[in-house]
Amino acid sequence: MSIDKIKRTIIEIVSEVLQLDDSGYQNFKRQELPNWDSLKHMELILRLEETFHIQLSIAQVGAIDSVDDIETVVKQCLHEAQVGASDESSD
Amino acid sequence: MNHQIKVDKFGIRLRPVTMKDANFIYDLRHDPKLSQYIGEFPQDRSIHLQWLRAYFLKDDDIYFIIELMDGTPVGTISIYDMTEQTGNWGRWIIKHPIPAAPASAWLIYYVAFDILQLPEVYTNTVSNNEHIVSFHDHCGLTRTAIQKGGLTIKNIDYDLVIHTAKRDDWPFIHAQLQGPAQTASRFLVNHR
Repeated sequence: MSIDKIKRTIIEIVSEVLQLDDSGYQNFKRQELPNWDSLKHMELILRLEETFHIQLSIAQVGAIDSVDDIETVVKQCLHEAQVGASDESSD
Repeated sequence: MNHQIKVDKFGIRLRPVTMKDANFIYDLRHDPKLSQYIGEFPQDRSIHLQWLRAYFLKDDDIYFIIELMDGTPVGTISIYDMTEQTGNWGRWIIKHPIPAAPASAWLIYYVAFDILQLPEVYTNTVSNNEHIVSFHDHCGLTRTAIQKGGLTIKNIDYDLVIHTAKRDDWPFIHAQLQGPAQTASRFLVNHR
């Protein structure tokens, strides 16, 4: 998945869950959005895991405070999954 | 109150506070980030111990430790100022980054409505604590009042938002909390 596609998908998920206007990529911060409470945070995590076929750790869940953080964590998980897959195929 | 209520669901347990929890509670309530929007607490540990001893003599107050299923304490929650008609739920503090909010809230409503059979409970939140105000809104609670300058923290008066939940609301609250609590439960099991 291209970087642009990842960013676009993230902003779509964030906008939908937090009911924001999807007006392109913006680094929304949790602190600035009252709506981004712990219920919505869990909904976001679930949607990200299902969409990108990844599993986040508790540290990653706790580290997400903005859209940029989501992008970092998603890329990290996708990279780890890629490395894991190539390790398996080289056995 | 020296109660014996112990409940668990979604990877979280509420168990009665004991005097052995005194240091844990003190540290939690003095964590600058976690205690930003709660009532001020004595710095003097002996006053804290005195306060906790007095709690056990009260008959309108049940105080819980929120813990993981392996016994690791991660927070506190309680219902106080209880009458036969109502109770104030609060003292809700959870260590970062443990995602125990949905499960612990679910459990406190379970205690209030299914165990204690209270007709309603209410909760007071500092209006600036926007994520918690939003949390209660998303659970479907009704904002029943605003208490102007209801809490003073470090010489600043804050308004309190009062949210109320009636027993009839419990099925809706359950539905709102269940999904997020289930999602969070996987992280609670694998927290180490």
